[in-house]
Amino acid sequence: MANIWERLFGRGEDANGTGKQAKSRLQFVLLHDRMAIAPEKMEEMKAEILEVIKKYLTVDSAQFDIALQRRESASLLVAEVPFLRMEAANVETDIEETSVPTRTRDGKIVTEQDRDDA
Amino acid sequence: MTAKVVTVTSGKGGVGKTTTTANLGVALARLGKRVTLIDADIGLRNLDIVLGLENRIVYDLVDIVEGRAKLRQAMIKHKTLPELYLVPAAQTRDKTAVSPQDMITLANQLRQEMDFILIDCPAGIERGFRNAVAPADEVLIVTNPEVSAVRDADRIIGLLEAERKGPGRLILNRVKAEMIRKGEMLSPDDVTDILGIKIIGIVPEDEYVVPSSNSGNPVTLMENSRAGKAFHNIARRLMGEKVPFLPLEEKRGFLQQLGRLFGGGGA
Repeated sequence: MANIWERLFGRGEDANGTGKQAKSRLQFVLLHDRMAIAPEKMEEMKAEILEVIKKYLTVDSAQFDIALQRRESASLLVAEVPFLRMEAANVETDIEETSVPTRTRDGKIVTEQDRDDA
Repeated sequence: MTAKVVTVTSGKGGVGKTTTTANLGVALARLGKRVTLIDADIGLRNLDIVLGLENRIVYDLVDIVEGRAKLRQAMIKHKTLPELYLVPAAQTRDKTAVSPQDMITLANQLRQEMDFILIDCPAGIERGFRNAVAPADEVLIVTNPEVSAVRDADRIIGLLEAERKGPGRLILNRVKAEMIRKGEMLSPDDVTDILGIKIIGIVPEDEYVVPSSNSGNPVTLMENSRAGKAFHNIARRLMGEKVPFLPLEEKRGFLQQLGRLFGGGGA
């Protein structure tokens, strides 16, 4: 039997409920839906962008990634480019790994909800 | 003053677009606005029956577009709300009988005489969708807290962006507070988080909705309906008022809490 207090006063959101699953599954599938181009084309574009960046930066190719995101009024193509050095790729000493923090998701909407959690 | 054209869309069928359009129309008319509802779902006409006006149709949208009737002749006046009109869809034709430009022309003819023109969009993302969205000043996206409906809403938001009609505002329909509390349903916050657009209304699941469409009297006309209240609030928000969201559940009295203890069910 469920905890009597839970049944009397209601319980908080259950972390294991299927609602959480729905959210994470949707977030994953929508990321793909939002790319209007075929996955092969996306890979092709990714490879080309990488080639261009490599002309100017020493990039950690394995970690390079591009993805689509939605902000409030626009869809964005966001690239994550972990690079090793700012200067042209001719100096190999003093390697200092830096990554560009591009994956902030600020499309979050705050609703003026006045919900009753009784 | 010229009318605001609001298109009600969803992508997925069956989420409550027509119910929403009918109720917002009734609510706006009760708030003293002059309103015309246009059913853009050619071939699957339903706004007439939900409003209880199915017996009064003489001419329809396609008759206007093809010049067999004047706009005024096709507009059906609501039985009790004198400032509420319906332009019904044709039942025997298909979506290609009307073009996006036809819809823009039609809406423009009405703009001077109305405060609001609400367009009920067909399900899907084809011609009917483009027709319904073409004249829109604002788009409302109706969805349910359910994975397939939310996914389709996202697709619609993307298309609206492409048509430069975005981002639109969201109506989350058929919300069950009890299930959200148990963690078994996406909450309004979850859905706005996922879709990244503003929400204009949260409509609870309400057992008055089916009897209301049975009888052709939208729930907004029923005193005790919580869905009706939610639609009324959405109408006020459409008019630019700031209206706080209703609590998802009615306050429980002590006896109801006891009932919950022993019955384990809802109130």
